[in-house]
Amino acid sequence: MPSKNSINKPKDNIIRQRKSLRRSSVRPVSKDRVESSDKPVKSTALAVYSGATLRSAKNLVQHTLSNKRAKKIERNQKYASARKLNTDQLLVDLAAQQEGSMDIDLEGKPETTSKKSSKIQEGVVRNALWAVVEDAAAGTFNVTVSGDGTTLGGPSF
Amino acid sequence: MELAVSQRDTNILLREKNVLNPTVLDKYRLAGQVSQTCLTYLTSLINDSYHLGKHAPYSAAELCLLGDSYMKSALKNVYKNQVKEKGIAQPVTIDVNDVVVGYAPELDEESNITFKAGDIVTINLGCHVDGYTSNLAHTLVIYPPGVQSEDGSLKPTGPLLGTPADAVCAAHIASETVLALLGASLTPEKLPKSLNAGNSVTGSLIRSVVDSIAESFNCTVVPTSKVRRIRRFLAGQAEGVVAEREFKGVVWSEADQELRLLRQSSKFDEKDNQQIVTFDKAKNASVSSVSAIPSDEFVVSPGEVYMIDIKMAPSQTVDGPGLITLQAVDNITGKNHSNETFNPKPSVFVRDVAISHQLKLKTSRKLLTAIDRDLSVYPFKLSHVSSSFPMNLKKDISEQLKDIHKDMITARLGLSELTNRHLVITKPIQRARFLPLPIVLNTATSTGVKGFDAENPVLPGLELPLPRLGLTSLKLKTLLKSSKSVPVARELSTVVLNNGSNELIRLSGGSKTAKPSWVHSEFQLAGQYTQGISELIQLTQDARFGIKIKECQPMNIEFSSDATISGETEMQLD
Amino acid sequence: MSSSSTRYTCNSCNLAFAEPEDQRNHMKSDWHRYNLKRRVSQLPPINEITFNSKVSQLSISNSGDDQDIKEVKNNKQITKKEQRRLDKEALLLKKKELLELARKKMINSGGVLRVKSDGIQEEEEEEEEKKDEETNVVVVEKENDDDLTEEQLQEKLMEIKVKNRVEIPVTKCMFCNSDFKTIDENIEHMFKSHGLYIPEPNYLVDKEGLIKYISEKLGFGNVCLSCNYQGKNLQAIQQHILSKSHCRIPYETENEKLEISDFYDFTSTYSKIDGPDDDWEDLSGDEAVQVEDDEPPQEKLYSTGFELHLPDGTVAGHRSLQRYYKQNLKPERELSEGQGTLIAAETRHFVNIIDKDQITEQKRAWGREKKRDDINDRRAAKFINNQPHYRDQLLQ
Repeated sequence: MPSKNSINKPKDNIIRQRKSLRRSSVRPVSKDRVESSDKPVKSTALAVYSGATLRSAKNLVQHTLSNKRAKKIERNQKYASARKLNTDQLLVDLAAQQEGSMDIDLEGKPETTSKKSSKIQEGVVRNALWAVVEDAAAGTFNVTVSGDGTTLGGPSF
Repeated sequence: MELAVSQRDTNILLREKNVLNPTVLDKYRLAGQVSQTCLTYLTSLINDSYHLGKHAPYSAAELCLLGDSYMKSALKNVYKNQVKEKGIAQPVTIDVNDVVVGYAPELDEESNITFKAGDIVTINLGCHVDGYTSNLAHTLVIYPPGVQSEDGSLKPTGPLLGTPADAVCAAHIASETVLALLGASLTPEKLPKSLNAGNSVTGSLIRSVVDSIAESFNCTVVPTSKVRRIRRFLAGQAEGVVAEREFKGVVWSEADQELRLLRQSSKFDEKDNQQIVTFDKAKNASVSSVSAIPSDEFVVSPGEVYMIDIKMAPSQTVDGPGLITLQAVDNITGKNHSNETFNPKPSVFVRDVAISHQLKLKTSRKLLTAIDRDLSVYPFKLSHVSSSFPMNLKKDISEQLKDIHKDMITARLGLSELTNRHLVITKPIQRARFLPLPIVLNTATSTGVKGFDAENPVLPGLELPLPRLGLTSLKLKTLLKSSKSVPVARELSTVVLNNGSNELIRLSGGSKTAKPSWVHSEFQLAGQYTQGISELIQLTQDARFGIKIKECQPMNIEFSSDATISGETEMQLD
Repeated sequence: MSSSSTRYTCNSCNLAFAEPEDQRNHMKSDWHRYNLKRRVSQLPPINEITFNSKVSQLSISNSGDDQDIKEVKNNKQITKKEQRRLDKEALLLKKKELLELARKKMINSGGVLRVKSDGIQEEEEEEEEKKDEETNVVVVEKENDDDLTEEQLQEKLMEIKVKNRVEIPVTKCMFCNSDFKTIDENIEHMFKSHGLYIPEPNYLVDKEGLIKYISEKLGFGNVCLSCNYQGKNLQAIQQHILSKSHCRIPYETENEKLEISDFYDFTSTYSKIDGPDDDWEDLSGDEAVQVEDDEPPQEKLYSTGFELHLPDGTVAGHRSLQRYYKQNLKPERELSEGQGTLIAAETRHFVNIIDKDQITEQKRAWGREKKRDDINDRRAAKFINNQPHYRDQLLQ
């Protein structure tokens, strides 16, 4: 209990506010109820980035998009897409990452290149080896003996 | 604290000292002679005891001790004041059937074995004079007691048949072929055209030739087979320990088997998947120089000394395709709940000279000084440290054995600290195992590729046994509990490409000492290189116009096969 | 001396005053001061007339130049203490001169003068009286002596000396006069009871001579061995020596050593130049030694800034480099050819490979931890000095 001498006493106003809030019917909404992605984005920079705004030469607009902002948008879009947990996209993204530079559209579907990622490589290898196993089971790799064979050495110790 | 050698000294040690002068050649020849003689000695002992019945069967430990004693005593009296370091470069190891390397039991070893009929026994030894090494390995067959032949001598009942025979044949033919290839490199004009070699012998050529031989005999080249260039003091004795710069050689590993299987597969298009075929060895290697990583792109040049080490194991057909890998065996029982009967104690050790540490125990300090002073940088056994080590067979053997035993007990205590501090590395005893492919494919690949097996020394770039599948050596180790044993045949010889007289000096092996045992394999040479190989072999036998090969002959020494070690050894087994 | 009023008195002079002014004036006078002094010395006070007569007497009898200060004192020109001191000094001087003379005479004559035993009676003429006649007599005597010439003075002193001389036999202890049978017993006794140590006994040749010399210093010269105390006679010097424990033969400085060097023989030590000196240490030693001129002549003894090179080749190190001489560094590892080859061919990385991601992660973790600590500190700062039951003593 904070005493008269204590410095760490809560201030008057806070108590009053709390009490008033309790009395009132206004309740703050928790963040997780509201989906932020549903609201329209109030960002001119993003609008410029996506090209959503009407750009006409006549109207002078002051929407700006700095490089820093552009990069940030790019990154965030990446994260957003990752969050949506698309496994196929993950693979593709991995591959794209290994590529180097690739344009990320707003939709987020990059093209696949001829080179494959290590995971894909492994998959190929596995498939190939399974094929070997199957073929061997089928009997295609049986070694045939032809000829007399080889004899080394002679009948002596 | 890392030791470093000055640039000038490095130049001298690695280049100048490896130039083939007459003195250097003499030293090589002497080392070759001693190793050949030792092999003859040991084969005569085995013959006498197992085949001719003149003596009770020698156990592996006895053979090792006798062989080592011989080598050491033979090199004791030569070059007394000129050369500081000479002696055993590889202690005698007796590898039976599926054991590939490292089995060299001491006399008090529990797992001491004697041979049975039908075993294929590989004797591996080596010696050096002033760092110029001659290594040798030969596989011979133990036959059941012989039958009387017409001229009164005993002869074996029949040749060895079956898959071990395939391995023996393949190993022998492959090593002879590589030797011929290396000899031909001195005079490239004599290279058979059918080999498509051009004017030089490259590593990839050697690999393809050996692979074709292995395939034609339905065998697989066991991982850690190699054809490599050796130098003074760098004869492959510390391969996983020291990352030797300017490594020049062809090395076989599980990755090659993986590639071969991939190529066999119908679903694999090599042209499309070129980057799968070639993998980057330098990715995980922790070496400062890329030259330490073995690659196939090298050319055999004259004036070099090569070591041809081919190990062949028969491929299984019963269980389908699979991989042949190496499994380390030691005396720690109770692993993987398997009923393991063979629990040998690793007895070969190598000093890692780059490590230094202040030791606590007096015995370990003594042992370290003894190792640094007497035993050179080559692998050693604890019995070599003893003062009565090169046993004098003429004197009282039991006394000497007791002394050796006593010295060994004190040395063991010191050795434990040395091993813990990584001053001395234990060379593991490894045996070949066959892993069916489905088991391999069904394992999940771990995300981290840092799971290296520290127990198994490998060359710098080859830490990942199955790089395309992404399986680490530790992962593979866990799979080995469901593996099968396969017999292995091994042939190792050292050759000197003498550019002075354009001839190949064969320091170890050859028809006189490493004569192949009587085996019959149902396979025969096939594939694209058949003609080339046969031509090469013909060239080696042609004395006038062919490839000139000189062999180091064993010395004629009276071997008394009534060395009565076996009687006294019963006392020593504690 | 009748006290008419009880108010203003001077108790030391037995006076009484009617007015305070008079008292004050009297207090300031010399007479009163003198009476105060008399009171302090427990003497009865004198009246003014007597005082004035004394003063006049003093000014008449005063003949010396430096008596101005002493005029202030009543009839006390020189205090007893001062007088004694002056006498002592005079005697000392006389005795010293006499001793010198005696020495010279002895050396010249070679004989021993026999004198009758001590004239203590003369010395004990010192009285505790404050009679001026005594002092005057002494002063007169002094003056008489000064009239004589130097030589005659010395002769006179010498005579006194010779008269007072006591011959102490070598078998008699010179400090306590106890007799012994042999000289060795005497020496042993002097060592045990008085602590007289004879230096360098190994090189002593003339034991008797040394003892005689020492005893002459006491008996003839009456001078102390360790300090420069001059006694009047043998008894005095003996008493001094015993009481102050000065029974030692000083052997520190060169002069002291030379004094008694006649009785020693150090020739055996002179040949020690050739052999290696044990005193010098090799480079594990400490001090830089100064090259002294007294050392036997060296050829190659030189010192660099931090080392002293001795002629026999050893090098002594300076103590400022002691920490380096004490170091036990690991000897450089000598590699054999095989080992050298392997190390030359070695390409393994032995350094820890720095994982940048790991380091950044670690730095972030540290940063977060620090921030947490800061926040905690700020929060706590508000009530970290909270003392709920504090009772301020000032707020009673």
